[in-house]
Amino acid sequence: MINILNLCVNYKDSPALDNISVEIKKGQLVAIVGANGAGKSTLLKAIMGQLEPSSGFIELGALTSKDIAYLPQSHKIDRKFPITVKDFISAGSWKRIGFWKKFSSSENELLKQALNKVSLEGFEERQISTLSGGQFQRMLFARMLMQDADILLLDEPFAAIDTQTTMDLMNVINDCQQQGKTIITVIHDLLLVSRFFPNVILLAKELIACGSVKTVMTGDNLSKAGYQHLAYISHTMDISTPLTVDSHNEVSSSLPKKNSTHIHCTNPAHYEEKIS
Amino acid sequence: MISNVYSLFIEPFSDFSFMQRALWGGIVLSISATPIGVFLTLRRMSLTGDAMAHAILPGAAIGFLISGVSIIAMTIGGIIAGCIVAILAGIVARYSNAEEDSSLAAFYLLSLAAGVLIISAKGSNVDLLHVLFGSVLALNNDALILLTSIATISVLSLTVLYRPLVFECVDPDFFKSVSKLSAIAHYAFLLLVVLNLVAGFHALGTLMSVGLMILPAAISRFWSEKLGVMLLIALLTSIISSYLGLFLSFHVSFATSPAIVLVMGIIYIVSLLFGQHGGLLSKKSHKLHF
Repeated sequence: MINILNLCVNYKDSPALDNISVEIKKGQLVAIVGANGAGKSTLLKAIMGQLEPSSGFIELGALTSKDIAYLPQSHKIDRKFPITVKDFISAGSWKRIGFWKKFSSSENELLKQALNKVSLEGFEERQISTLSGGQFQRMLFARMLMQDADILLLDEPFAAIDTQTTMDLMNVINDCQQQGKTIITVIHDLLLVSRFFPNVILLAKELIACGSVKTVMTGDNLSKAGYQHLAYISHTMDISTPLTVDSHNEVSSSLPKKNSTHIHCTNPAHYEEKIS
Repeated sequence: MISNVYSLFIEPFSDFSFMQRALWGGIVLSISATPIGVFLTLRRMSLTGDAMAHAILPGAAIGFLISGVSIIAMTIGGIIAGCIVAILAGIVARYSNAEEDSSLAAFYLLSLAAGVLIISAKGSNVDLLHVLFGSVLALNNDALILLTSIATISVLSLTVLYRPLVFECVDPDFFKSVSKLSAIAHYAFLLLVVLNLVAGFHALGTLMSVGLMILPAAISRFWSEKLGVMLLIALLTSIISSYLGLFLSFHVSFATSPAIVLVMGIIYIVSLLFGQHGGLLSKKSHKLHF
């Protein structure tokens, strides 16, 4: 369980998060939603302990920050660095092998399984610079799986990748949830959120709302979070449709085609200027 | 014929101990500085390296002011000054609104001016040339011991730091999430850069020492996409250039450190044109563009 109480975090002397209180239970699948600059990434970094709260606190229960796997935004990664897919993913076993220890056969086995899950078999010796955007994102997921952690934090894992890859990786996330892992994901695409994430935290530096997707993603709340332009089309998103994620492993079938045309307009990144 | 080749290529080094010392210095520096240079360029910190190389000058100059041309005093002065600028550059990058490259350029101009001023206040033009362009042909025992010690420290530390450095370079956000060593790896690396620049300064002078780091690294990038191979190519390029530079300097009386750097420069231009990865005239790079 992750218990966040009255959390305030300052970034370069201005408040990035203001008085956030949220409780995330073990095994939950949670989306963090908010406009640019709403403090989504800051919240992830605070949970990892990378940013010190200026007040309030975060409890991880019996777990520590060592039990957290993190998938950073891909644009912060040096994609031209001369390193193979295998070496890149092996960073996921840092906590077990550290500076020195050999990459043992059991680690190799884990690596194979991870590559298998994200459909990147046979890519071990490829240079990361040769991967497409989708393949690169699959590799990041493989590294996260290598970490074998109880809590997964993902920062915009589906930014700028195609629908097929998104669906494949959503399946990976659902697998992880079924193994009892707690998963918190920053997501820009509201359509994905309403389809696949049972729980939502809506941020705009302060907490706008949190809880089940139905109660949070209302026009009123979205408008408060800076999605004024969306409030009036929120009915087209058909939020009331029951989530099929828990009962079915395959999620790709549950993405309705008629709504997929809205994907581009539900991406708040396009409305950056308006909000700021 | 064979004896001609021998007298041309080998004799300068077998007959003159100053040439042997110079070659030893060049090889030791190559082993030590080129891997550091490869990481420096991969982290896009070439300009930082350049600024730090210049920053060593006033430190070494103050050492010179206190105790003349003393290796120990100038080394300690250089290391202190290099570390100060490394830390200052880090602080400026973090807290100031100024662009990092312009503050680095400001630092290095200041350092160069201060260093030249201090040395010319007390020493002669010969001293100034010695500090700016080094004296690889006049390396004494103390200097060689210093260079070899720094190379040993550098290679050992880099072996220990290799994994964290690679992870820190590729994906710093991720590495911060799994390890608290991120900052330590960064500063330990900067310290190694300073140590190697100080070592390079004794042989090649402040203005040229950074060349031994950056040029072989830049060359290696054109010929391989594998880090291990890049490290090897950089090392070989550097050793060959040191040899050829000394060779030219002996036979044609070129100034030694510019000769070494110019040999690297020629190899760089050839690589820039014909390199397999990103060379201007290579087939692969055209495929990438179109």
